[in-house]
Amino acid sequence: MNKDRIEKIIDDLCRLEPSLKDSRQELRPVVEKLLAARPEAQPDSRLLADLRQQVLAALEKRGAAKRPRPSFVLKDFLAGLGRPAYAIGGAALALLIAVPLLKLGQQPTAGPYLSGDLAANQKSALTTGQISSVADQAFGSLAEAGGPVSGQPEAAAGLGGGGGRAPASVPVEGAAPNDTKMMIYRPVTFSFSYSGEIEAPDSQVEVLKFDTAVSRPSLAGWAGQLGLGLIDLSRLNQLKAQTVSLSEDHEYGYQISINYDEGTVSVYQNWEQWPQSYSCDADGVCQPPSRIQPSQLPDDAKVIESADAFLRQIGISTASYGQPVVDSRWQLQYAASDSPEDYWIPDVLTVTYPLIVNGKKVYDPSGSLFGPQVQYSVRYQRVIGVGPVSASDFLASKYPAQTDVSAIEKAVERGGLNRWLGPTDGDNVEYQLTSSEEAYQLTYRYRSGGRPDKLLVSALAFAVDHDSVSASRTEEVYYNDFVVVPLVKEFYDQADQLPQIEPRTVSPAIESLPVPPPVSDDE
Amino acid sequence: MDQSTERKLLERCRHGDSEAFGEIYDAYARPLYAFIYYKVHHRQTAEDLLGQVWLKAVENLDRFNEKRGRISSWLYRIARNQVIDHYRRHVPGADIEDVWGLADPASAETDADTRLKVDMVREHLTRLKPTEREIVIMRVWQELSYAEIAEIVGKSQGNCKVIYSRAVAKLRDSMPLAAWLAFLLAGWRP
Repeated sequence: MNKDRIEKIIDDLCRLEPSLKDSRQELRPVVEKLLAARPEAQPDSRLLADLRQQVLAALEKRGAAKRPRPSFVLKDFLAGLGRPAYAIGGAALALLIAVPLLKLGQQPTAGPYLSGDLAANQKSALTTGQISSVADQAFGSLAEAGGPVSGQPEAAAGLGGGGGRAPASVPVEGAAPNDTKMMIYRPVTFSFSYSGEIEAPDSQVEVLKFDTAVSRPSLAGWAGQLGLGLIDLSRLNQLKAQTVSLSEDHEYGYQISINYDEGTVSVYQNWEQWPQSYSCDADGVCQPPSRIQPSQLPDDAKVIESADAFLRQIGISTASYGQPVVDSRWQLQYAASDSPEDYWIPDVLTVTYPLIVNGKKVYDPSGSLFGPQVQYSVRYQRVIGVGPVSASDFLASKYPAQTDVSAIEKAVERGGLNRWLGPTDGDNVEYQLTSSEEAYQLTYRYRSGGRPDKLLVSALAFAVDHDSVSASRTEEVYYNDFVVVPLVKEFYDQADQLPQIEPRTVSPAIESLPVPPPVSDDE
Repeated sequence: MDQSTERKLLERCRHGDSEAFGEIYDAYARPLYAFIYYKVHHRQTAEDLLGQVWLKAVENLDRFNEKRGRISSWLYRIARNQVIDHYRRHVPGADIEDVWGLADPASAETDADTRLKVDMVREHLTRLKPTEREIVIMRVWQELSYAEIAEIVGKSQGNCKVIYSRAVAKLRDSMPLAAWLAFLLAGWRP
């Protein structure tokens, strides 16, 4: 204890009690002794820190519940869910941040939780579909794209891709029961025929580039609250949120994922709050749920009605999307299955809200409608998720078009602009295509490092007539509803340069291989 | 923390900057703890009541009007009321205005070292009226200004000064020097 401190104490005592001025010398040893003996009234530092967190969390929760907000899309969403969609201070929360909640089509207004730079950054990304023209071929070469040429997925068993093949099991005839030969898969190739006329496009066609200007919101002023007391985030610089995960902690609650880099929002079940479809006994032995029966399936209108209602409830606008469509492709395989009683009927039905840009539908690289999807659970009889929802402006540039109609026709015949695998000794199944319409096809241009560019390429979409083939087995079912071909010439040039791969044919040597003996239970 | 800073922080807080309230917390958490502790003389109780005070403050922050006084005084008033409520619940039938007197040094609830130290001055402090005692403690141990004391106890500043000086005079007359110093220094903070 230093002397200055003791003198200060004595000075204060003398101010309180002037009669002590003449007793300063006597006071010094008394003051020293008494100071050493004074009761401590200091709280535990850890307790103070914990309490601080609790207090600020309570303040945040209270402020979020009471703060007046302008019309925000997620604000309506939160209100529709019935309670604040974020739990503070609990282990269930991945990360809590008050996010700027902006309605599609509205310019953001500075709400209580918007820092200045955030309000400025959140501009056009959340407006819908504005297209700005830029110079021709402004996006550079599209040939680097993973796009329509290599974007077509290889066909998996039972699924169609553009011109892909599906394995088909073919029993080898003449095999004795105890000398059974291997089941050999024979490929099925698909081809397509369009009886209508394909017109040559203009010399140039449009390519749109997603111009999503969402930026990561700053955590200025927030960082101190978010470190769980384990780290002082306020000591890090320019901290911004990339993704935010929120959860509802009540029965049938949802989990919301917001990605500021992608400009997307997705909603999923908060699994902890939904009843499990598996039933488990006291010993932990679980039984899978029973199969869905066809009679349990609601009709498409009911599924769409539920999807629409859910989107309304959480404030997601459907203004940018076309007529929703229930994905019923599984029914094609179900109908062709030789044992429908064993076919696993899906317990989740998907409703796609197709993105409409410039009045045209958008298709993904595989030829499916592109847009947010709502998942409807047949078991729970309610929506279990939606996503990803996004909104973007676009930059539009002109690129040289494929004006050679025969090249387009060949691509259509193959089911898309993919590698031509050549004839096989398997089965070829030809589907008829009905109507065609102008469309966009989504493609990605991958660069070394950085995020790929998302592009919409002018294309033609042809509807597949599934009734044109009486599929006798599931492998003959073409699993897409559309054949989509791009109209940008650069993609055709790229496709011509790709190496041709000879398809593998069935080898007689393989047919003669014996089946390995079964493994006994004793081994 | 001066009043101007308090107002700026409050303004930020009302615009959603919770961290601003955190700064208010940082400034007053320890003094509030001491304020409570000097009344209950029990660490655990003081910690619990401290938590209640801050959560109460959060609940009622919307109703706080800075034109009627400082937020620090408001917090102390909440703390005072929480201590009174605590004794109402745990010591039914007692004169809850005499909060100081209810902290029985013989009680197992009182921290041992506090018991020893407060014993030196207890006898003399109990001779003061409850309001006198409270004002003296706030002035001497907690070094609150007369303005803050006035807001907490609900009296005028002038009235508080008069009460304080009369209380000090009573104590000086009744206490031996060592006890008087012990009392004065018990609330000293570096």
